[in-house]
Amino acid sequence: MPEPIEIEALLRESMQAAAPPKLTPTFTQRVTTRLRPRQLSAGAQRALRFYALAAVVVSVAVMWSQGVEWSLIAVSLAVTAVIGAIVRSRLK
Amino acid sequence: MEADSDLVARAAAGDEQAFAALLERYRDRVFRLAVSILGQAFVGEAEEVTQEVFLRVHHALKSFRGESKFGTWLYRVTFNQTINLKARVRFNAPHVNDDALARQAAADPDALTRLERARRDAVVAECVAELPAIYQSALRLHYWMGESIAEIATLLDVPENTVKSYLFRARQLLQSMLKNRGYDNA
Repeated sequence: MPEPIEIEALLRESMQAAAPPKLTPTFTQRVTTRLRPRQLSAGAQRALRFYALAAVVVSVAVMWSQGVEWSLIAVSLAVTAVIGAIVRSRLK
Repeated sequence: MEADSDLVARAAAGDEQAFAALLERYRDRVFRLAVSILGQAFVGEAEEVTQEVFLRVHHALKSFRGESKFGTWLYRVTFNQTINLKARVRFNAPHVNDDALARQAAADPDALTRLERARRDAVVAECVAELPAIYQSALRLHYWMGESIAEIATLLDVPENTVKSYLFRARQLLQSMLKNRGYDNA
């Protein structure tokens, strides 16, 4: 069955009434910005390390004051450290 | 020009410039494919999809084994991501506001012709939006964006003859839809 030429012409005229779409000029910049790993500032990194150290010291002190054995305290710290390392490697 | 496979290998190893080169090479085609699926009224959404596709591909580069060409893989990710978005969010073609068109017609001597044309274009857009997604994509790529059959075949990852049959079938369906809406001369 031959195709009517009119539908072809109608589609061209109707669809080309709108200009072909283009990406906005800032597109590439937006993508590359989102891809760049977010680095903490030196001050923020120091504060985070201090917080982690303080948390460990307080946790050990609380567990020891409650009569928890040193071996259990060591295991709980080791498990936390392993989980932290895994999460960190996944985020990289 | 550096081969895709070299750029992919470098980008997977963390070379930002290599990924930027891939982004530069493919961004427009990925965007056009996304727009062709979503439609003329959703250019902004297509740009969002394009951005998400490149972020997703960047994270998945290490797992890309090179069993297919990088472009083929990229277009497949784009197609699936856009179809998923379309399924999640209902994309309706905007209706033509007849009152607004009539006001415009009263203020402009040539407006009657333009009014008729605008109505016809709106009906065509509505009919196109009712076609299967793959037909919509092929039609918009060919008639709106002026892509060749070969380029559409690459973007949709099908043989050229399949693209021709998509276009043929889409035109047939459109013709009967337009007739049902009273556009007998279509």
